[in-house]
Amino acid sequence: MKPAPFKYHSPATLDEALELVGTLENAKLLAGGQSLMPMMNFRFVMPDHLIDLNRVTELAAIEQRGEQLFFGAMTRQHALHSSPLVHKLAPLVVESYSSVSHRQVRNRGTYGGSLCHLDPSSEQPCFTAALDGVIEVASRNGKREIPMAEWTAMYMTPALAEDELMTGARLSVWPEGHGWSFLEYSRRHGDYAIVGVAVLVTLDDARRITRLAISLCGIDAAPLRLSVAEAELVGMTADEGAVEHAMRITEAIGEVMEDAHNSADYRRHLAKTLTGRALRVAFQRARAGNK
Amino acid sequence: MDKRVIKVTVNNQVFEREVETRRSLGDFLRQDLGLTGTHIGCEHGVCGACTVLLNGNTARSCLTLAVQADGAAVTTIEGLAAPDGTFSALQQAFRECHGLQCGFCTPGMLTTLTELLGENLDPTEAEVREAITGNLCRCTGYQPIINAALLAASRMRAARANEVKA
Amino acid sequence: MALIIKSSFHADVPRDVAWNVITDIERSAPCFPGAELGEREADGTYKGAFNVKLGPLAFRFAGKFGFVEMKPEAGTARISASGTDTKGRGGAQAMVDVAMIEIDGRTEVQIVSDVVLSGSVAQYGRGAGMIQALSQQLINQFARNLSAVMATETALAAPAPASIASASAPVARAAAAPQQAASLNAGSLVWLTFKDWLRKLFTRSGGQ
Repeated sequence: MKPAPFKYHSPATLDEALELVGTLENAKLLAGGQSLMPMMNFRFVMPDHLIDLNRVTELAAIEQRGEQLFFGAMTRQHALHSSPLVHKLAPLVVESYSSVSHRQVRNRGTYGGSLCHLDPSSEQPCFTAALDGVIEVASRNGKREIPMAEWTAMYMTPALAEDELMTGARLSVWPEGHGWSFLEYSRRHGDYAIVGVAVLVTLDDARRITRLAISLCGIDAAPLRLSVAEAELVGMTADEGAVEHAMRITEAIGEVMEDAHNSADYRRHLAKTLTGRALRVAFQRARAGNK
Repeated sequence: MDKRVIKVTVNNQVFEREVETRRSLGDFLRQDLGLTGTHIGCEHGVCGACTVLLNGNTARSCLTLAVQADGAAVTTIEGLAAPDGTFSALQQAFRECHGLQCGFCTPGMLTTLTELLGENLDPTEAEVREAITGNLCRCTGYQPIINAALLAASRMRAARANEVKA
Repeated sequence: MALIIKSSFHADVPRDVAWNVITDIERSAPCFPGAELGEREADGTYKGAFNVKLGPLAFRFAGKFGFVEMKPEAGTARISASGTDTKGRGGAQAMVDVAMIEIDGRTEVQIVSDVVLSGSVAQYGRGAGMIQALSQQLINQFARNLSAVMATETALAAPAPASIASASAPVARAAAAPQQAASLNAGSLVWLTFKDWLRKLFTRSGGQ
């Protein structure tokens, strides 16, 4: 189980990388390699060229930019998991990483790699959707941005042109004291989620929901924002009634993917149950945060 | 064939070799350098037998290309004992607690636990279990491995306390 | 793995025009996203290849296809296509049934594809769901492209003179397609694949 032969490129700057991406045919970008290398070892993926981004250090960054948090595409998952800044501004992200594979994988795996690999069961696109991420991409011809809601072109295919690469993403910072929760269900700890939920909530002094985001992975090709549930819960008191209302809406999701191991109905059931649990935790944390 | 010359420091020794760019780090260590302590299990990153330390951080050597280790420092199982062969606290504890039977997962377990104890000298049992979720063992049922890790941690804490006193 | 994919579209042309386009492989085959038309064999079938991406996997199925049945009076036709991945990851066989129904000078075209995948390609994608979704998208795009080509039928001048070499004829026909192609869904990946095919077609005509 060794990769098929390829030509290896190791650019040192973003410009060099963009030149390669813009000119080489049948090339794959190598970020952390934790998803790509298994596929190459199995010979599912056989690019003629491999563009290793690990020396493009300018692509790794964790920065606060006003009301937003910026993650460079080549930032290691472990760096995000253990970052005090991320812990302070986006605790949802830190909690999500506890469910992402294993430490050895997080040491090498990158945020951008996960966003571009775009596995439907993946946690990182899920929290990015909850945090209204805006993806920044570049090519030789310039830069552009793609809101997370438009990032998924189709199954495991982001809306990147052939000559583009992702440089980073900006996530919204929720106000101090907000509630959050990331929960997933998988057969073994560290596996891809069968279904995962990310919840963010703010409450007013009367414990009414003022803002809510619910994002699901493992349901469809793109992470699913439960915008109907979000809209209907705003204004409701953060209690069991709100939780049950959200669970009823979640149970009725239309398009749900299925495979030989997990039926659509099972995924819907997981989505409903996990959404309920995540809301309860998020409400509790928000109440604690408001004190 | 696409080849490159790489210079890698492995267990404090510098090696310069020409490799095919598709050569994995695991195969480089085993085939090119003869360091067969690192084991290849699944070759797709789930079993953990191939785990080494790359610039001090655990990494799957089956998912890392040798060319990516150019200029880097790698520590394998062969580099955990002292130069005179004295076992590290972890290795000694594994021996005493029967933290291995066939030994196939052991190099990966040791490098992973070396990283854990390097960051946290007082882990809870739950933290030890969490740390080794990426390393599969078919023989021991994990408990002896966990016992060994906790024993090593307590000894390392005691040794550090003695150093501080001295 | 077996899949059935259905699609249909309406073309603003009479049935005989729709029939002519669909049964003319040199015009209809290029409408399939990622399809490459090769040489015509003596028995009327064509060599060809089909490029498709499923996530990070890029497949190229090389094989042949052709009409196995044509019933002009009924407006039905059946196309058989088969190919194997050039990198050994599996194969695909398809039987495509096309039915054309004329209503008030317009034609409804129904396409039912019976696809069987074998090898690694069938195992990838965690089950049939994603492959079904991709196949549906491809057939839908095929339908849209066919519809666009049919609409240009009336826009084209007199049929190409017999003296034009066969290599340039597809170029002359494809030249009409880009104007129609501009109206295709620009956002989809499949559109990008189709654009790429068009680009290659123009360079191919220069002598490969």
